[in-house]
Amino acid sequence: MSENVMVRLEGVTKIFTDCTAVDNQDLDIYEGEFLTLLGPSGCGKTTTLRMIAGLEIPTNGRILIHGEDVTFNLPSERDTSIMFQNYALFPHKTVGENIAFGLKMRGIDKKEQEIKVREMLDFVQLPAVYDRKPHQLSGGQCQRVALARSLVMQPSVLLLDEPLGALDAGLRKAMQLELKNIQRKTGITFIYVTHDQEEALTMSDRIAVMQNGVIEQLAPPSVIYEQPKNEFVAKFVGRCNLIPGKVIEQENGLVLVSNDALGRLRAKNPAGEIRAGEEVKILVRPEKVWFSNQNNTANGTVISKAYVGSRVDYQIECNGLVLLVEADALVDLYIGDEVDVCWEAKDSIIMPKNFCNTTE
Amino acid sequence: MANRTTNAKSKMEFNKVLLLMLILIVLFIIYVPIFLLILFSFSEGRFQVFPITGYTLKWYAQMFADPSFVKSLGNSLILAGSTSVTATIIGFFGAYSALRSNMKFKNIFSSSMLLPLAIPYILLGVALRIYFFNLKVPLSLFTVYLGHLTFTIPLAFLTIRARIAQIPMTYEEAAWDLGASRLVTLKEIVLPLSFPGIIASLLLTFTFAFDEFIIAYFLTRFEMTLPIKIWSTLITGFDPRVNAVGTMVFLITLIIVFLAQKNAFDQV
Amino acid sequence: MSQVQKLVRSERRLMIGALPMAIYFLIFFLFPLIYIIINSFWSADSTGMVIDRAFTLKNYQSFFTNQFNIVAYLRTIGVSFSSVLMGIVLAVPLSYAIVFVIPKKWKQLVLLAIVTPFWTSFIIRAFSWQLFLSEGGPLNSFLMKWGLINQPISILYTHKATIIGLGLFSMMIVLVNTYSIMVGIDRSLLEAVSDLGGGKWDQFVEVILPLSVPGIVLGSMLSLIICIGDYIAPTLLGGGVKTVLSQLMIQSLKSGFNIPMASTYSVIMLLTILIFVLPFVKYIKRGRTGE
Repeated sequence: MSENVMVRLEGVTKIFTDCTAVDNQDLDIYEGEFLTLLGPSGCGKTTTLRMIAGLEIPTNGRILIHGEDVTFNLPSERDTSIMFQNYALFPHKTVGENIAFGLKMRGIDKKEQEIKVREMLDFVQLPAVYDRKPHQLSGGQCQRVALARSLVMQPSVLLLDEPLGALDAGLRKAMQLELKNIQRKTGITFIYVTHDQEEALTMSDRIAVMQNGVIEQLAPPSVIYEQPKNEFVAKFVGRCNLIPGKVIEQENGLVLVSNDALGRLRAKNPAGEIRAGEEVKILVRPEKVWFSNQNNTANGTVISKAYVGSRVDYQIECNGLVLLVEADALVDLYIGDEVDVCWEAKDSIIMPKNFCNTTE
Repeated sequence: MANRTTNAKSKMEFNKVLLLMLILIVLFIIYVPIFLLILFSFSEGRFQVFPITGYTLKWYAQMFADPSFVKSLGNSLILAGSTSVTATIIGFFGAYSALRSNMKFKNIFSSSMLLPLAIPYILLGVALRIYFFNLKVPLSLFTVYLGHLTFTIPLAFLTIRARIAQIPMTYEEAAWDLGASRLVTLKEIVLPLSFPGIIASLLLTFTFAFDEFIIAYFLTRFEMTLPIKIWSTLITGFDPRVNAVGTMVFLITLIIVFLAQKNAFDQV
Repeated sequence: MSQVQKLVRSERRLMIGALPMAIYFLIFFLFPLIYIIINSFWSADSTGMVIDRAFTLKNYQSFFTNQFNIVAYLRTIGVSFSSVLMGIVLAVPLSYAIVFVIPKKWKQLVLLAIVTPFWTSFIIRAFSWQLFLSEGGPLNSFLMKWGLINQPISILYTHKATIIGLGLFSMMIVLVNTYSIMVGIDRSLLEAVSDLGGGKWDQFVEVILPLSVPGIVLGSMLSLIICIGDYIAPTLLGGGVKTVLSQLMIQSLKSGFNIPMASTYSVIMLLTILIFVLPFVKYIKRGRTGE
């Protein structure tokens, strides 16, 4: 991944008659990067994508591709191609005609069109569907054809609007890997919109978590998951325990926090400065908690238990505070059992209170 | 308890039978006059009374031998044909614009375009006759054509708009994204996808224009359409040829409805 | 900046598509209507050839002071409402029967069988009714043969015949509009009524009928408009003796040649329709958005 900026958004705002979909957004997307816009529906991620594609015009701000201002360019005048959630394969045209459509618009001659289309179909591993109509294809095949139709245009940027949304779970997993592979092979910049956090975490180089038209956090998946900037991001990318408390002091890079139910707890503080007496929350992911009695120990009672295949989810009540623990299936506890729970201080982080009121 | 259930059940069955009877009676009332018409068109007697003494095709022969009938039939076919094509073209572009442009007052535009369908034809006929009279436009088949367009354009608009509204916007967006201009998108994507609506519009406006009487009655002077010819025959007295014409018109309508229905099923 | 202009232009260009329609609407619908409204306040001399363009209410006065006109007007309203009522009374149970009683594969066919004949020329249908209803016609001979009546009943050339003709037409229009709503009703709603102890009648009264109201109203309004303006049924079936508004219009134009008077009749017809239709527009709108 080189450090050339491929797409740049500068103060981009989109106001529809009844709402602000995207609010003063700055974003740099690098060449060859796989960037995901992640967020709940209505957060402005699709609008952002459509503005980059040229299907919406920003109310304010500029969009640059290859350093050139394309804010007002038509979709066809941009080095981008978009793949829609419903694939938008033209139902009255064959697969071959669909993929050749863009080439035809460029005025490329028939023979060359067919050669390129056949190449592309081989590339997406669908060599035999050239003469079929879209309604004769399965969901996964439609998805590949739509991909081929975009890729044959050799865009620098491929925009994908929830392309796996219509597929069933098994196929989704397979397609995730395949899309990622194609992106690596072709080196095309992918901008990917999804509301599925797992999809975002597996595929992306960087994730931009969006809410109410604003990017809450822009970082690689591991940072998003392990050091979410605020409660919204923390909750959106995975399940979490949020333990409220008051800062006592900072020591050795860790912060000492007191909680009514669990007493004194230590946690990392990636955000930096923090004052004693400040109200905070501590984030601990359920899979980082285990049953034992080392540091950060709390004593509690099992109040619920749920099998989730390879693991078991327990809810443990400790002095009125309920903790979610994701345990190995080998651990066998029963409701009512008394247990000690613990986690490592480095696996828990501080969420400053002033960021915490964005949700609920 | 068991008794009550069987009672309720038999009551339900009774209601069902009643409703089925209603359907049969309505069908009977609708079709008997039409069968009479067809029957009498083959009847030898000059008067339309039972019993029928013999069967003949002479009324059909006489009808086609009468140049004024043939002429008015020809006029009606040409008129309905040109009306339906014109209305469908204008209606198609209107529907596409109304759905896809960033026009302000889109809803007001769409609903006012439908107003001609919300007033009786006789009002359209009278108003246009007085209007043309004042503008010194001579009445002819052309003025009938103009009059028929006032209500067939909204019909075409309505029919085609319903079809285009079902086409997801993303097809057109995908075409733009792949480099097609708006005009090319219209030709390559919108037109083929709204084809069933266009066919439906052609057939619908054709029958409406072909059968329309009162507007034509007001807007033509010497050139007759088939409904006017039938009307004047009926008014002036008794003419068994009307049975033959009526049967023919009924058959033309049946064929068109069949085509429209087939079109509707094919698009599913 | 030229890019912006290009974009705006391409969006504008799209509006051009609506232009022919809008122009046509103005020139051949709105202007003629406005023109007859203006004309209704002018007056013509006895020959009808000279029109005095001074504002006058004379035409309206002569309409409302002439008992013959008033009777014709009230007759138009009476016949129209009776026809629409007949249409509703037949169409609602018919629609229910087609949607909820008839086996699925027959539904489309039965609807089509009922609706198709109405696509034919209304004149032809009215004429076939003449055949059916006449004193020597099959209806009378049938009834007499079975001893139900002693002498032919005269239906043809009375209001009854007009109402039967227009009523069946209204039935078709109400049926089509009601049917399209009834087939869309979620069956689980009906199952919920049964589950809560209701019978078929409760299903109809509590769920089906209330949901069908927009369709019934739309169908009724459309048929009312047709009935008020119809000229064929009152002339061919009603015999043309008892005059209605549409016949007055035609007489004033075709034989009397009094353009201002014809315009006045037209405006009165237009106003009548507005008065009856406007209060129901919101139901119709609701029906549309419900689709």
